[in-house]
Amino acid sequence: MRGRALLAAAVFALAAGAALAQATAWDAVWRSEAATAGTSVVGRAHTMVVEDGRERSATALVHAAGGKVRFDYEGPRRRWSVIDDGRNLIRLNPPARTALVLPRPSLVLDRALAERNYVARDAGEAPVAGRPTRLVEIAPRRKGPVARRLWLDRETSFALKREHYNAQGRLTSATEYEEVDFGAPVPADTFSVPEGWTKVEPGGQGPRLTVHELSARIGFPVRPPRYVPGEYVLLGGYVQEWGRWDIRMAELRYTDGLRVLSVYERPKGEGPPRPGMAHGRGGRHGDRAGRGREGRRDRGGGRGARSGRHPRGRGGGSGFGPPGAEVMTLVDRGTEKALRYFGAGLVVVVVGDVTADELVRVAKSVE
Amino acid sequence: MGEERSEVQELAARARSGETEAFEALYRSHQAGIYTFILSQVRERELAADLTQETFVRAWQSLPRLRKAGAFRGWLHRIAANLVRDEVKSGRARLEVAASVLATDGETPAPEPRADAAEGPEAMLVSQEMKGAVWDALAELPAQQRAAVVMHHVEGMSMAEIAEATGVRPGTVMSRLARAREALRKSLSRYVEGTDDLS
Amino acid sequence: MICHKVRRKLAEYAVGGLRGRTRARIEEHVRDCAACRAELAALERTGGLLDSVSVEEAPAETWAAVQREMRGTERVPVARRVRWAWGTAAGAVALAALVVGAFVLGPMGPAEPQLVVATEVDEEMQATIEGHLSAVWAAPLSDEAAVGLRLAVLEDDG
Repeated sequence: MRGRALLAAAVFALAAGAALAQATAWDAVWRSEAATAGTSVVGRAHTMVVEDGRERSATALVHAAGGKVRFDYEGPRRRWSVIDDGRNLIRLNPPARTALVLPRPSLVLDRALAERNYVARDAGEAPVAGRPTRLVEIAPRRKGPVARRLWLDRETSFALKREHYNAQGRLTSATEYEEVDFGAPVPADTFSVPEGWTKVEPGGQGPRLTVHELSARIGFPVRPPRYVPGEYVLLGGYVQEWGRWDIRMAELRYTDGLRVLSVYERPKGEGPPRPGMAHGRGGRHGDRAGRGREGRRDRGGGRGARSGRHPRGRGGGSGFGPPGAEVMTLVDRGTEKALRYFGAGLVVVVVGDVTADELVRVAKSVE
Repeated sequence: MGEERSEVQELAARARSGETEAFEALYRSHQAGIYTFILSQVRERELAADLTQETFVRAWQSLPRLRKAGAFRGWLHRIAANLVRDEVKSGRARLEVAASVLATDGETPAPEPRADAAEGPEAMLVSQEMKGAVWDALAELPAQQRAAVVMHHVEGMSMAEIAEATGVRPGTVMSRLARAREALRKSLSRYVEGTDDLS
Repeated sequence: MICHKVRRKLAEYAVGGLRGRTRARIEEHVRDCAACRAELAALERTGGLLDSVSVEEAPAETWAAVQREMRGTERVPVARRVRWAWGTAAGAVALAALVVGAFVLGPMGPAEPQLVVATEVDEEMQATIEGHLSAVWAAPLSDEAAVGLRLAVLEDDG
């Protein structure tokens, strides 16, 4: 009797300890999220992404303060900058002195959702940028590979190093600070477009809406997919306009707490309508669309996926199937995938870090 | 031509406010042009008929969004062009088709010769064989050029209307027509070369 | 104006695309040059050939089909619903036939879509991927530095 009671107590203590440790790991993660928003930082980081089968990297000068952040990148071929001023994502092109200004979605932090779908655990420690850090791994609660590895500064909780893995467990991005200075002064004009530059504001996304409001705003009934992967919930609807390409679509955005799944829709046959025009008809400027997709030059290394990765698909080429067969287009960038599906009256594009099968299932479940 | 346009404007305005008779009149006057336009792109009669039907249904549904009643024909063509493009993207139709791929035993469309031949030095007797040759030559053109040729020569649309339909400047329409004219002059050389001196 | 320069512009002239001085100079040259005149004639005959092609009528039953859809739908496109006449004998027969048909023929509907892997990213796909990236930027625990790099990569690839 006593043995069993002791055993039970031991198990309970272990579980409680694990739960406590678990709570601590998540706490540290959320502290780091807050630190990203609140801390003043000046630093230099090296960032790398594996996209579309290729590794690209750049060094970034980082300035962050008051919830805003600016990255000045230097890559092998060019320099550019990205500013998040809390309301807009601004992309600077120094040679042309232009700034592309797009509205930035507001952060929706749902801790309960993230903690429901993912576990956070301590995984050791290591120095980064000469500072001690604590390594936390985040993995899906259902069986699956690690999604994030974060090296959190012991003093500020700031993530000095990050590794992101896609749903298949492949490393897709890594950022590591080489130098960092917390509390260094950041000039106020760091986060604004430089004087004299041309601002381009091609539209971007609108405010967050309900599905009903979105349908009213965009002018056709938006149909939520009947199926999304179990962990995902609907965040909201957005009108998306891309002025550069005269494209306007409805977006339904889903999240599992960490990852984002976007479902875009437009009526079939309307083509990409021009934003702002009353009759919603859009066209492309000049001859760019002239030869259709077949005419595009194939750049070295290709874009999208390599054929053969998906046994059900055919090799790329013009993308046409046999007469009578409907074709879905899949673009696999490694970091995430995008799938376009032609439904009865709608064109649906699903983008996210899930398997191709899941994308297809979501797209086909839109009625 | 000016008088005809204002009639279309009148009908479009009435159809926009819900008058189905006015829309039927618009259907009657535009169906052949739209059907032929789509047919020249998809090269299949059944599919062209489906897309023609779809074009007019969508036009009826979207009419309230048409700002300028006078831009009706161009706007209607844009709907048709977008439907064709979506068919192409989804693999159900091919936009760029080599003439050699098509059957030549009567399946390719060869519209009837016009009863009233055009006047002027360009007028000529047109045979069935020549008709087939024209359609085959059109099939070899890039889609944008073919669309411009069909809209201008076959349907009689103005530069402005074609520009409205395709979302490009009239100058671009003009250069597409010029490039098409050069290409067609070569592929139809049998029929257009001659010793006639037009001076 | 020299012949080969004129030749380059003849097609444009033939479709009515030139104006003013260029137009006048072409006309002047053509007046005196038989070769270019013949070429222009060929181009103009091509135009005449195209003009003689007439439109073809859509099949007669098309309007009826359009009308049916016009009546069945509101101005804003909605999903088309098939109404069964449950109460009538004809409806019952139709329903029975449908059920039998389903057993005999299997599920009806369009052919199963094929998945094709794209080797080129068209504008619509690029736009949606880029839009998605903004959402990823704002997601919790995002690696903003990496997303900024990915935006540039997408731009370079597009």
